[in-house]
Amino acid sequence: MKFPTTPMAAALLALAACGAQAAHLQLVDAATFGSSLTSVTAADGGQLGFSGPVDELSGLAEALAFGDGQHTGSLAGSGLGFRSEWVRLAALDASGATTRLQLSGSSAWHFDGTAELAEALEQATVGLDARLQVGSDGEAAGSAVRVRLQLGAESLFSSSVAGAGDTPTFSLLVQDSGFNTLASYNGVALNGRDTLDVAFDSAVGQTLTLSLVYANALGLGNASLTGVQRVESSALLDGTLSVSAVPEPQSVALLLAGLGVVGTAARRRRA
Amino acid sequence: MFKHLLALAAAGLFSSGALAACLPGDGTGTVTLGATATTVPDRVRADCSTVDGRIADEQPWGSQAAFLAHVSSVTMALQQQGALSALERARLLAAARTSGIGSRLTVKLIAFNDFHGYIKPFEGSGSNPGVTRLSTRIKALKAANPLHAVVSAGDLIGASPLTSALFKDEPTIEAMNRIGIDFNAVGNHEFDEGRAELLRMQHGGNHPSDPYSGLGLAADKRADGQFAGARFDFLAANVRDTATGKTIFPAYGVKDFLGNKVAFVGMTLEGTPTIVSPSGVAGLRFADEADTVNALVPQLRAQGIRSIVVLIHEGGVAVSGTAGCPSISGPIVDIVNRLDPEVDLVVSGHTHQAYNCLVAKRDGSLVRVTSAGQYARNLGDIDLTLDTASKDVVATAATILNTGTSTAEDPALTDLVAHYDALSVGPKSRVIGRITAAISRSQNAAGESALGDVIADAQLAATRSAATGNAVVAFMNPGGIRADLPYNAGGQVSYGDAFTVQPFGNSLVTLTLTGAQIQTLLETQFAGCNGQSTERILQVSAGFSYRYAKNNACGLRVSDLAIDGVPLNPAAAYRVTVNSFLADGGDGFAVLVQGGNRLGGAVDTDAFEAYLQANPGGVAPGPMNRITRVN
Repeated sequence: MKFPTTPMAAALLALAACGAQAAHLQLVDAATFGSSLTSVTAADGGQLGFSGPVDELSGLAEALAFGDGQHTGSLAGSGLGFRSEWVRLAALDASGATTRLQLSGSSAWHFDGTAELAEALEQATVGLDARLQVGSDGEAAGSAVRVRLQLGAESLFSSSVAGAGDTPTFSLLVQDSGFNTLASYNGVALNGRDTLDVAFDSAVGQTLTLSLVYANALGLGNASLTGVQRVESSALLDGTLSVSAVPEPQSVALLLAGLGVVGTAARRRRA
Repeated sequence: MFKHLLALAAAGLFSSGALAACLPGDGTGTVTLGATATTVPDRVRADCSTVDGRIADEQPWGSQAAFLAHVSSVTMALQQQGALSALERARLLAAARTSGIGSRLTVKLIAFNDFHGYIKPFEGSGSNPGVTRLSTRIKALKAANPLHAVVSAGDLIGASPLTSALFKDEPTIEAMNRIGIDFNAVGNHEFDEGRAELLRMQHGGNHPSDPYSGLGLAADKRADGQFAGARFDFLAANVRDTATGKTIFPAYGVKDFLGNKVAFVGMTLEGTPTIVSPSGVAGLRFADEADTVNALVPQLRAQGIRSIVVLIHEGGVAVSGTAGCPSISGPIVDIVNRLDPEVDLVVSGHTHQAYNCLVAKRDGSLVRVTSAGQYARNLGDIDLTLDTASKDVVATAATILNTGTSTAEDPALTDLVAHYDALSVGPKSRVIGRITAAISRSQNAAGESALGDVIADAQLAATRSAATGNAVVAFMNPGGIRADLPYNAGGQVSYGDAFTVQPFGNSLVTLTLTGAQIQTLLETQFAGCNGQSTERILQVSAGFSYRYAKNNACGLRVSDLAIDGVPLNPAAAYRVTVNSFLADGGDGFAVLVQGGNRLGGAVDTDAFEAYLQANPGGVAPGPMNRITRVN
């Protein structure tokens, strides 16, 4: 099959232009939150507890929450040595044409010694709430745009001892100013990978609220520990929000008409 | 080990070199992020990448969020590949935060001003390095600083030497296109040939009538063979069309450095119409400089812009040269003193000086104010340090470099300069009139020269009519006469000869002074009097006469001022013509700044050509009898 290449190329170009990058998201304001709480309890009642905050490091065009900690201790009674190192991060970077968002964390436990463990548990949360405005790159206020959300999420978990687990949970919610949900994501499975690619309508001048949360509970229960044991968990959600212009109805009609002409020409040539 | 050798072999297979460049494994060192060391081994991957290398902490990062998200993604991928543990990932991320990488960003600004079309090395003066050497310097700074902007603070074109001027300054625009500059704020000389011609400089197309337009090399021209116009933006925040109220060029340009926006507000001096011929500024309104900047600040803030650089074609007088700034005075100081505190840097020009000063803004906080001399001789090497969270400039540093006349010429521009130089050979020999004998600029005992007399006469002739200024006397600074006018066969004067005598392209300005102010002007000719640094005897037009006694004290030297034998009345007003350089108080003649009712006139060489044309029998050397020295 032979296509009339020039008009086809022109039509394809026109099609590409319809989806061209236009407008952008501008950070209006943001709030971040998060913390990590870890407790270790032995069967004999010995106990350790640690907590650490997540710091707000936001700027004019980026929201950033970051926390990390290194905690060591030993349990009274058994003398079990314990070390916990963790990091949590939530970031929203609206400084460029494409808005980047990320949630991430890693936690690593190190046990050294012999003990009957009742429970070790880390409960950590990190997240941010942001308001983003669809800013103009020359478009009139109210011009229709399409916002595309693309993300990948993954989780990695390993343990040298049975009975350990993690519950990584990413929550993403995009709403308009009337609290109508435009896009959402909830996941990911332990040791799993996930992707999302959705789009929703908006308009230049509209304000979107974005909520990003990563929460997990890393746990180990009823274990007989001996020697050195390790429990490790990491998770990452990496995504983008991009804005493209929605073609006006008349340009869609023109495009369709153009494609029609191309099609007719192609048919005639075949005939 | 066996695994490593296999990997090594694989790497060898896929690399072009005979020897593998790496030994995959744990590596020999640990990962260091900026100045923050970690205990994480800097493992070498099978593709020879390293953990440290993949984190790329040395490259500039637009924000801490961007760097941390990058480290997070890279370390997660490495963990997926089994090259890092979660523990090591946590440690690397913690170190990434501690390092502070991404929280500051340094942007290099490469700034110059008053280039005036000096593309050809040594044209006009052995001190002029030419655009080829300027390019070498700029390109070196660009190469060393990927985040940069190249900016010009006006008078990029206009008052140019022949190699650019003859071709309507298209050579200069093309040379700047090749170098790759970002913005040029308009200066007064951008208006020398009027708005339409200035717009053509930006947008391209050949001049409607001048045969020397559109003669560039094919590589520099549009597809249709016409002049391409500037591939950088002219800026004119304070120049509005009186009919539409709109600025003739954008008020500012924005450059984004990894998500950190820097606005460059560009403008010329408000007084541009007083030093440009009226036709050059017809239909345009020039607004107050500080008011213009201050009104833009809220607009820029609304766009999330906190880093604001002002490119302004107005300057000051500093005593330091390139070294620093013990003191600065002049119009730029008054402007900066009224600026909004949000302004982070002022790149100035117009006074052709080199300085690097700190001047107080409206709230008393200091802002750096630079100027890089003239004619490509200097270059401002300026660092803007931005806080990537606030997006504001937190520090500036600057060095005013000498371009250097022995700096290597950039081979990427030599063909352009050679092309126009060759094309200008013919026009240089164009005969513009006749003289009866060689006319020398050598001064007699009173400081008067034959050529000075002739030039002053030509200036008076060009501004004598009611339409051109009603002038009764012209004064010419001796330093503006750069060569003697040679006697060629038949007394023919070539355009090249005339241009060599007056290469600055100054335009004429007619202004009103009282007789007393003229007396002050003449007293200011002597070193140590009214701030004069050295003796400068102004050349005067026919009909004007005076006497001076050099041995007298300051203020008591000059006497018997007269025009056509009639003594000057100290209280009366006289129309006086000087060049635009003097009109701005150049050469220490500050009293000329007080002259009112200014009217711009022709470019000096055009006035000179017209004078020769009006005397077809030939112009004779001046009589040198207008100034009488008593002792």
